[in-house]
Amino acid sequence: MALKRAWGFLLLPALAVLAAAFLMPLANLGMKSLHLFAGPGREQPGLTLENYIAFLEDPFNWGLLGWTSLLGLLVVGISLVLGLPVAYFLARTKTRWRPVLFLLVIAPMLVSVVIRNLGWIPILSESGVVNSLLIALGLVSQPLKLFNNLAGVVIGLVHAFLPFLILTLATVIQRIDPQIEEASINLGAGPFETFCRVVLPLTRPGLIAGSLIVFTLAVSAYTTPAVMGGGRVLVMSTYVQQQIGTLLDYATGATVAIVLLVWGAFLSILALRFSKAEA
Amino acid sequence: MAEVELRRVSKAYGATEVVRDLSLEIKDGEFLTLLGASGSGKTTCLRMVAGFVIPDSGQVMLGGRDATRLPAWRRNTGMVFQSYALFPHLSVAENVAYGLTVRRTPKPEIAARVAEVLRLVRLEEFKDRKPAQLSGGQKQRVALARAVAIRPEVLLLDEPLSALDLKLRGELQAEIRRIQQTLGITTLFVTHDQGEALGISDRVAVMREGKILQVDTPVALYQRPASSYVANFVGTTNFIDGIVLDQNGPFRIGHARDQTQVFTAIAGENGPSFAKGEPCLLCIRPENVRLGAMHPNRIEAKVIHVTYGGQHWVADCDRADGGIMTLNLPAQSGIPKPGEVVTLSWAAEHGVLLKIEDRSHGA
Ligand SMILES: Nc1ncnc2c1ncn2[C@@H]1O[C@H](COP(=O)(O)OP(=O)(O)O)[C@@H](O)[C@H]1O
Ligand SMILES: [Mg+2]
Repeated sequence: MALKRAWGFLLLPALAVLAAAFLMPLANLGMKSLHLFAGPGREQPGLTLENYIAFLEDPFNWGLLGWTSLLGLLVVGISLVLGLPVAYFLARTKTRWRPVLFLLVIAPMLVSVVIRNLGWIPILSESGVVNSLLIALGLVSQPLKLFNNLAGVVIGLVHAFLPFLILTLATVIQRIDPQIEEASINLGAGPFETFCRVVLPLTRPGLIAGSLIVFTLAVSAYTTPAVMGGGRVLVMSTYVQQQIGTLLDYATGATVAIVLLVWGAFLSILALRFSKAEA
Repeated sequence: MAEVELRRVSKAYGATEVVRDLSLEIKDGEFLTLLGASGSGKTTCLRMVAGFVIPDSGQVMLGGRDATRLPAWRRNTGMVFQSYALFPHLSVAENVAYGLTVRRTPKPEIAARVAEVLRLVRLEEFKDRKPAQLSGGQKQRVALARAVAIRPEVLLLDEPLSALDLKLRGELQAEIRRIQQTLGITTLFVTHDQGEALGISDRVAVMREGKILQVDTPVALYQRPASSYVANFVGTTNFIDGIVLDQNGPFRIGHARDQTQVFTAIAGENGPSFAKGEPCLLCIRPENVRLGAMHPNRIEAKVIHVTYGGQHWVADCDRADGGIMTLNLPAQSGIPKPGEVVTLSWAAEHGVLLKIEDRSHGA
């Protein structure tokens, strides 16, 4: 007990830094959302909820929220399709290269977001690797636009957040007794049917938690939509930057940012709840 | 239901040969047990029948057809795992129905079959429970029900009782036998427990280092072991080193140290033949040894200690040749004191003659 308290004291400096780095700007942002816009860079005195009412009354904002969420869903869906087989393989393989494979999976997490995005240019541009390959194979005649648009943003986001999903799923799959899968196969279910009937249902907690994590990260990401979208993809995060950075409308920008934050926090809590309830 | 056959199968993992040129036949409706120490290759053989292990060479025959290359999910075998391996997300009824559901059996038929099988294992009232809400014995009965629900050609059980406590083990052993008899299902059972093997099987195959040493009925295996390893693995045995003097009806054996001391003995069934003057091993079960000189084969020994075994006393005695003689004494009888020198004797038909070469592998 005493030891625990001592450790608690050791946490104090870190907590102070966290408070200064996260809570103060957040409080500042919250305050800005409670003042009305009074021309670029200025605000009216007096606290009000007007900004939030305006946000909720404007269909444009609902569209933006819906569109951003749709993008998040798309990223989650693609990540699931790509991540499930990889997670299953990582969880079940007996190769001694497993630690190396895990390192490869988390490699994108170790690279700066800007570098990670710029790395896609030689691959996705009109004369890039993917297009050259598709044309050489005769699958397309014109190069596909895979960059500076929605496709680029989706690719960038999936690349960034897939590792979280794979790690979450692999951990859960590893805990499933392989003999349960053998029992299913013994009873006449092929490998794919066994995966659908046994592995997937037993992976549910990981699927829900992992999907919510990826969704939350995807809807709140800023750099990747900005870089990979080439300024042409408007989601909530880029809209906030536009309002604050370009129009100097702190009130609107802060309001949208807070709404996004609350939406993300809500989903994160949900994710925690699910992963706890089913673990 | 069908006969099952392993034809000269071998399997190696890296440089270790786990199963070596092994042949085994299980007749239609027969209950055959693979008995062997841990690591002897029993599970590997069972998994070959199930299709989870593909032999490096040899064939697996199911119902007269070559199933060596048939994927596990097309084989129609029913396997019961030591760890139960029930589907935790499905109810008892859904677990039992699983194999029928994946076979796209019509719903009413599934319901009828599930009810029938649950009745067979006496778990009808538990059908809506999840596996986590069951005891170990109940889980194993669900696993059994799930395996027989698909009417498999062969039922495969890999040490299904070893996770249960002693009393439950006995009950479930009887239950497995009863269900096997009711359904007349061909069964391959794996265990390292000789008591279990003798009690439940039509025939027992004793395995050692990837080979089958002897396949026989429990009685023949116990009374006429074909090797000292089998004699030792199945029950307890006394050994005496001897030399074959001659055969005239029963064999006449001279004690290896003192050939004037002569015993009479018989050879194991289908056992090896012995030449005159050949060193051999005489094997006598403790329950066939008597205190006193009432039988023609006699040996002197000094009592080391006597322990109470419930149904009888167990006496360990030192022989003059350095060996130990263990015998069982009726619970009501008087018992000798430690240190006492006694005469022990046994009948000719209770001395089984064995080849000497694998003596070192005993105990
Ligand atoms: N997949 C495997 N890879 C390597 N060795 C194995 C494998 N399966 C079994 N073995 C080895 O083969 C031997 C026999 O195993 P097993 O058939 O499980 O024996 P038993 O069931 O009689 O205990 C053991 O020494 C075991 O370590
Ligand atoms: Mg085994």
